[in-house]
Amino acid sequence: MTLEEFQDLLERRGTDPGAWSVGQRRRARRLLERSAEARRRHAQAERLADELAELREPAPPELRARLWDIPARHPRAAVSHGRHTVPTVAMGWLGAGAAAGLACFLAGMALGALWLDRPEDVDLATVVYSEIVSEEEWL
Amino acid sequence: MGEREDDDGLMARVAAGDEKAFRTLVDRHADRVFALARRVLRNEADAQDIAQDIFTRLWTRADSYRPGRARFTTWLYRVVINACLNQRRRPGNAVSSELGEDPPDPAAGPDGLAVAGQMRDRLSRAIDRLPEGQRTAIALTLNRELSNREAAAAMSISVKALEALLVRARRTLRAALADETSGG
Repeated sequence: MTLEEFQDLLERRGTDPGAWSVGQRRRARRLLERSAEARRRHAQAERLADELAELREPAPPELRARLWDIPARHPRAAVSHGRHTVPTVAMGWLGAGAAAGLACFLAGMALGALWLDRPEDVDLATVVYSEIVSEEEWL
Repeated sequence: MGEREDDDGLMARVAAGDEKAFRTLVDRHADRVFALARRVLRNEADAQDIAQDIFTRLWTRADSYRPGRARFTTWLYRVVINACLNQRRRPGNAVSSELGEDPPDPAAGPDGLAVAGQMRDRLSRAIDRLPEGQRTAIALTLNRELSNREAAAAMSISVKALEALLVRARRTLRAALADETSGG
């Protein structure tokens, strides 16, 4: 491995050998053993990585308070907190429930074909945000 | 007792209306959501709005979350980035988000701590001057939580593209750090 290849490896994959391939680790280790310049560059990259890891931007206290307050401003149905009750009387309703469920399923399939692009039907990652950035826009 | 519940488990409880689980998610992830949004948008007020919007939707739409496709943090970062991009694209926002808020120039200090703080402030400003793609790539990887693969997934790009961004960003930041230590 040349110095330039090693520098590229540090910039591309970072300083953690765990992020390098087995072959890269082996070649990098041999280079580090024989080259003081490689060791200097590794130390420099480590320093940058350490400085970056130390950058902290905690959420301001007023933001945290507003986030904590979200459930109060958007009330939801009460949760049983893990306690389950066995609906003994529900057993008698299973037949009617199954028939109703089948009817709903068939209706839902028909409606779903019309409403596939409704926000409620898609993953939260896309329901909020309408655009996916293409790779070309990043580079 | 005392074992930390994973994020997928918390989200399932949030979907059932568990406020305590939601607040645990807030405590666990508010900093990283805010920090990533702040880095991408370079504007603290906008970043706070984004964070509030995301957590509100986490609470109200938790039943839409699909565990197992990716780590929760990878998915969360992707949501943050998409929110920031949409924010940036709103009419009138492109310029303000590019200008952002410039961190104040720290006063020179006599001791090592102040010098270290100055260095970090300059590094932080150097990150803010990076183009958006590089800035986002660095913001996703700087705390070493995400692998390159996960960061690429959060940005919806290939690993190769992410690494190209990281190479450029790290070269710029390395030069900024070298300037700092040489007094330039």
